Amino acid sequence: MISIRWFLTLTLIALLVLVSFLSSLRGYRESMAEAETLFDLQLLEHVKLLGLLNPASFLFGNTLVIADSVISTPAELELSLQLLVVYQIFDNQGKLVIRSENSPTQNMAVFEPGYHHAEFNGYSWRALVAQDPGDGHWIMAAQRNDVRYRLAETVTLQAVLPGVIGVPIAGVLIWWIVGLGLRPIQTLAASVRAREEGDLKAVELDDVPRELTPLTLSTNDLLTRLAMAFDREKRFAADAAHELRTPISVLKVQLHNLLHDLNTRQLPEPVLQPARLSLQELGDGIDRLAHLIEQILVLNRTAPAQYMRQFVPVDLLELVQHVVSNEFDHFLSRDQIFSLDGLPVTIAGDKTALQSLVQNLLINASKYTPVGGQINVAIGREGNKVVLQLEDSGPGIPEAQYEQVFDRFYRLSDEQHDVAVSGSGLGLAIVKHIVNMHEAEIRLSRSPSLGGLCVKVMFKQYPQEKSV
Amino acid sequence: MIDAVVIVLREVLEAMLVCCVLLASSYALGAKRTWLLPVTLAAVGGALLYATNLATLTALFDGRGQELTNVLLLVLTGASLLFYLLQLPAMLHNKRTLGKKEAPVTSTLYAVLIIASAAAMVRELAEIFIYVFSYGIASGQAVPVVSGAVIGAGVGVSLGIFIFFGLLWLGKRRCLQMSALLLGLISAGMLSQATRFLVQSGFLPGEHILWDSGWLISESSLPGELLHALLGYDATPGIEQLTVYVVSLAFAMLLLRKLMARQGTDGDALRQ
Amino acid sequence: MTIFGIKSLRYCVRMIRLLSRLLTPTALRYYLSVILVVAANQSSAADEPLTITLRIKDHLFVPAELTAPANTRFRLLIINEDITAEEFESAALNREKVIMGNSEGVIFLGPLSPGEYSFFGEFNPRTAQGRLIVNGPQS
Repeated sequence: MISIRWFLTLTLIALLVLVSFLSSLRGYRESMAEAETLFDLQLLEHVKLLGLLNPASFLFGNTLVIADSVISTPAELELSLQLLVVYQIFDNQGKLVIRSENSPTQNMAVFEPGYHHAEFNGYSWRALVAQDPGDGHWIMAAQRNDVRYRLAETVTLQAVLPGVIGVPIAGVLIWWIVGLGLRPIQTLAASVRAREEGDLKAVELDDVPRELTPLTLSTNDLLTRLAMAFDREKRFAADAAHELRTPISVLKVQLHNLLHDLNTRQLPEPVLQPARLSLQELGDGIDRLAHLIEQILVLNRTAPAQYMRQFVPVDLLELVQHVVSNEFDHFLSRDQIFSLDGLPVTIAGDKTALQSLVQNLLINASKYTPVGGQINVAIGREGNKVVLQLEDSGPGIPEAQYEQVFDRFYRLSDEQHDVAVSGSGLGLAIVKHIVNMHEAEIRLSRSPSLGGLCVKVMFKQYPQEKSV
Repeated sequence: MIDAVVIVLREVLEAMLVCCVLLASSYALGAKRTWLLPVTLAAVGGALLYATNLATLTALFDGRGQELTNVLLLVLTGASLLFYLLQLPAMLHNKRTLGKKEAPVTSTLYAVLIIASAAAMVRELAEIFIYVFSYGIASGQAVPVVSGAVIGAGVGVSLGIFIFFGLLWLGKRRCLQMSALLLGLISAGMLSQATRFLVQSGFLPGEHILWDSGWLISESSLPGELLHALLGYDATPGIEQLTVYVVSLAFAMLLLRKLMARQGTDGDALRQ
Repeated sequence: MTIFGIKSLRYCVRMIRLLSRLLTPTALRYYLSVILVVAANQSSAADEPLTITLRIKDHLFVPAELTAPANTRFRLLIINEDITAEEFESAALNREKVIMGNSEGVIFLGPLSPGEYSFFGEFNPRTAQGRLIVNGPQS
């Protein structure tokens, strides 16, 4: 949608322009009509004065030509010449008796009383023709149309111009005022936007205009409910995980006891063998359960500031090598080619968390890469960042889902991702959580060399290495 | 001053109508609005070039260069508007199949938008420049002509703004239909005007004019000018003009019909 | 919006049928004449049609009254002697053309029925006015 500011500014200016310009035009038209009447009246006055002359007394055979600028002083000459009324007086036979210097020798307009349009001397004229009711002689007086028009317009424009000049100024003011009026919205938006992640305190209600109060109130209401929901969720997960720890420990102990008990009994090997195998698998299951619960606890660990204080220098290469050696069975069992290359680099972090991060990423890569596929891990530097990069030859993740895969319990389900592959949907959520705790960045893309997913984690350099 | 208002208003109205309807229509499709600014700047440049070289242009082709340029610009506008209408149903379809995030507006469509509005603006702006510079300022009437031009342009642009927001106010679905209808009418008017220029320059034989409705709606009156800008109204059309008008309008209506059929099936693509 | 529904489809079909009449022999003969006229325009200047000259001077048309024969195609040569531009415009003749200062332009007119056709200068509509009087028998 178009911004409110633009909408208001444009429509208000348009409205202002339409109203003011159209009213100016109307004023202009009326003033011009008035001026026309005034000039016509001037012509009429002229004809009236000329009516005082009796053409009969001027009949000398020749036409009397009267100079136009008889009374003018030189300074006024130009204006008077322009405003000039030229005239002709004919007797009742239509013979030209008297004419002013600038008038033509032919009749200027038709012999018909009234106002006429005429063209002579290379100009267009407004002519008034009148007939003496007594002896029927004709009087014609004319004024230049262009001069009449220009003079009238000069006067009228003085009234119109301020409006034309004023509109742009008003436009700028409207833009500014609309911006001023909309500022509380921006302030509100900024105050909501500026808060830290996880800060769900209510928005300050001071100075909020009446129109925005409902929005602010409902936002605060929403925030409160959200905070409560978050709190509940977090507490539930943490409590549940914590509560599950004890029974699992008990299970482990009992399993150990059972195994011990089984070993001390003198049972024949064919009986012992399957029982041991079942117990072994039971043990693995319990271990996975314990691991999952530890991960849930890691995810719900709060107070990152406190957490970061216990960071120690960690050699990333060494850490990755360690994790790989622990998980190497995974790759072997799926016949996958694994390569690791890079130099020892130090970052600041929590060793257990980082191990969990690398482990999750590696297991993920192994899980979704087909049997016989390839996984490359590289450690290096990019600018002042330490980069851990994992590429695989699996199906990858559609670009649209890059954001969603970090959600808790989100699992890809399409034809390329086998739902049967076991997993809790927590792996990448934990990765993201650990990445955030280390103020690092994680990026997903398509691997250019292997075609599968490429995960890139960019850590901050270890503070002491900056000088190197 | 009033002449300046009338002349400039007519030209601005014609250009604004094309631009604003295209802007609203493409906006309803999900296009950016930024294409208009560079087009305007380019059109100002083009119009200046056209206006300053008009005397030379007129002398070309036995004194028929001006008409031919006008024909070129009018056909360019009219044809690209029709092409735009032709593209609309496919765009709607894309919008549905590709989803909201994929921009359905292809570069071809942007090119059509740019050509149509630029050609319309060059023609109308050139007339304004000629009037203001070659007539108004050259005859020493700068103040009345310029202030009249400002008033005319102000009124024209304001009407354009209202047309734009009015179309948007209809909602995306109706906006597309209404603007398609308007664009069809405008393009038919433009193509019929182009035909008139061909007759004027002697490339087509001038037949007797079909009728004179000047007594009813004069072309130089305000309603006449509005109708001229909107429907290509001509008080005294020739047979060629009418034929071209009817053919292109029928074509445009066919395209509109297709658009609405598409909207029927892809209705929810626009119900957002 | 039923206006644009089935009705418009029928309308279009009817329109297309109407347009198909544009392909009748009479119409084809007309197209031939169009082509011939276009061709004639490209050919020699010998068969150039009648030219009538109109001048623009001091924002006025000289002469303000032109005469032309009826039912004939002719050229109107407009010579602008002012330094300012002018636009020749006529609603009755259905013509408009900008004539720049100190230059000239050509307009093709006709065939016209006898009668009076007014024209004016768009830039000086009050003063620059003229009439074209077409004499001759009604065709």
